[in-house]
Amino acid sequence: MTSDGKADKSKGRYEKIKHLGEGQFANVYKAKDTLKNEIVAIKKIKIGSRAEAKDGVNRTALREIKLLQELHHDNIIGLLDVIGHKTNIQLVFDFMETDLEHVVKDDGIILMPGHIKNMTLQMVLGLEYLHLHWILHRDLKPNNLLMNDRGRIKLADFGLARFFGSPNHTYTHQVVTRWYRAPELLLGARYYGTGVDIWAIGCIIAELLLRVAIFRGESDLDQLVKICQVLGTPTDNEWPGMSKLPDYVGVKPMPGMPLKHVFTAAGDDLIQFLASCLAYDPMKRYTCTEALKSAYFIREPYPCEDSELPLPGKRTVAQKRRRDEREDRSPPLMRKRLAF
Amino acid sequence: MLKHRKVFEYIMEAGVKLEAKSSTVAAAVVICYKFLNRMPPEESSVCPYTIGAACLYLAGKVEEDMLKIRDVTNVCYRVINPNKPPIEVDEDYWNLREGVGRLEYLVLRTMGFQLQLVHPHKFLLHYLVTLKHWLSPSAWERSPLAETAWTLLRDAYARPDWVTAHSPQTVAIICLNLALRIHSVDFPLAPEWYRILHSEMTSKKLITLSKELLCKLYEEQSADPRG
Repeated sequence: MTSDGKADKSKGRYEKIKHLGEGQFANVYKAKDTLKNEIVAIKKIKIGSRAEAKDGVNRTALREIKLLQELHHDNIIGLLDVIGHKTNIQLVFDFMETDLEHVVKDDGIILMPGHIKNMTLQMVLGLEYLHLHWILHRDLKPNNLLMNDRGRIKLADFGLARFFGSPNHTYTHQVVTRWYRAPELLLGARYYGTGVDIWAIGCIIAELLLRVAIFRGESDLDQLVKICQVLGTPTDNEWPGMSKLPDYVGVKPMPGMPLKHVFTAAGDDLIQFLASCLAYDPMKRYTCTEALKSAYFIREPYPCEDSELPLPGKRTVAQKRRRDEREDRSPPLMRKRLAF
Repeated sequence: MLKHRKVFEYIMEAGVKLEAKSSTVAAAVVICYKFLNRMPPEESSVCPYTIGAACLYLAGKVEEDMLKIRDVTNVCYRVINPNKPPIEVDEDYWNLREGVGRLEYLVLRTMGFQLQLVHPHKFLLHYLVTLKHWLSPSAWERSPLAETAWTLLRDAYARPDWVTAHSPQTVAIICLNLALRIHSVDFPLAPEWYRILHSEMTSKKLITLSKELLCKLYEEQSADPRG
C-alpha cells in the first residue's frame, strides 16, 4: 500500500487499457501496472450524486478496503493498492480473466463433474477462510466469483461483507442478490450467520449443473415460492422457529421434487452435498469445514487441475495458454477468429 | 503538555455525546493523532477541530458505528461552543458540514488508506471476564472493577502517544492493574496474574507503565492552568 507521498510519485503508474464494466458503485478498468509490468484491474468508485458526495467517503468502498487489507488467501481477490486523489478512490486488484457467470452462460463450455468439483472446492476453501475470520460475504453469486487465466477462482466484491458473531448486533436482511438469498433472509431474519453464504454456494453449484439459475424469483415472495416448488414447503418440524421470523408468510404446502430428478447429471455424493447446502434450517446447513470433509470431496471423481478448467471461448486454460504462446500477441480480433 | 491534547479530549467528549462505541472514539483519536503527525505542510492551516470531527465521522464508518455527518457536525460545534446557541442551518453550517466530508478524504489519503486498528478494548473485556471467574461473586460485586478499568481506558486516549506506543494487550493490562490498585483487589493465589493474562508483562514493566499512564493523564492536566 502506498502512502500519499508515494502515490503522488507513482502518478501515472497505472495505464488504463480498457473499460471492463460498470457496477452499482464503481467502474472497472483493465490497466497495466508499469512499475511491476503486470496487468491489473482498477475499480474506480463512483462519486455518486452531489448529496452523496457531501457525506464523504463511500461506505461500501471503505468496508471493502478495510476487509481486504486484512485478508490474504489464494481464493480471495487480492487488493494490491489503493489510489486516492481528491475525492477519487481507486482500488487496484489482481486482474481476473472472467467470472463464473460468463462460464455458466457460454454454450461452448461443457462442465464435467471434475470441473464442477474443482470449482466447488475453490469456492468453499475461500469461503472457509472468510468464515474462520468471522466475516460473512453476504453477496455470493456467479459474477462475484472471478477466475483468472490459470483457472484460479477468487471471491470478490466485499462491499456487503461484515464481521459476524457479536451477539448484540442485528443485521439488515436486505442482502444478497435475490436469486441467491437464503430463506431465513427472505423471511426477514435479523440474526443470521454463515448459513446465508452456504445457501448461496448451493445455488451456485446448482447453476453450474443446470446452466441457469435454479430459483429465479421475480419478487421476494415469488423467490420463496420458487424455492418451495423445488425443495417442498418446509414444515415447523423441518425448520423449528421458522414461523417466528419477523416477515414469516406461509407458503401453500407443496411436495417438492427429489433432487435426483432436478440434477440428473449429478452423482449421489453431490446430491447429498447440495441437500446439505440447501437445508431450510440454517442450523442444519453445512459449515464450510463440514463441506470440505464431505464424501463429495473424498470420493472419485477427483477435482480436475485448475489448468483444465474451461474458459469462455471454448478453450481450456491450458489450451489458451498454448495458443497465446503460439500466437505471440496477435491482435484480439484476429485471435477470436482463429479460435473457431 | 502534549500538542493537540485539547483536540483529542474534544473528540472524546463529542464521541460520548454522540453515544458512539468506545472503539469508535478510540479509532477517531488514534486516526487524528496519526494524521496530525503526518499532516502535509501545505495543509497545516486547517483547523484541527474540524479535522477531529472528520476523524470521528471516518471512525464511525471504519468501526461500523453509523454516525451521521449531520449529528457529528452539530455535536462537534456544540462541544467547541458550549455557550453559544445550537448551530443554525445556514451557509456556514453547510460549509462546515462539507468541510468535514472533504477532510475525511484528506485524512484517508494521508493515512495511505491504512485502516486496520487493533484496540485494547477487546483484550480488556477478555481479561475482565477471566478475572471475574477467579474472584468469588461477592468479591466481584464489592467493587466496580470493570467500570473503573473501562473508564481508565477511555481516558487513556487523551494520550494517544502513550496508547499507540504500547501493544493493545499492554494497554489493557495497565488499565486493569490501576483499577485493581484503586479498589485494593489482590490475587494472593496468583500474584503474577498479569503474566498469566499476557506472557510479555513483567512486574517491573507493570509498575513503570502504570505510573507513567497516571502521570501523563492526570498530573499534567492539573498542572495546566486552563485544565
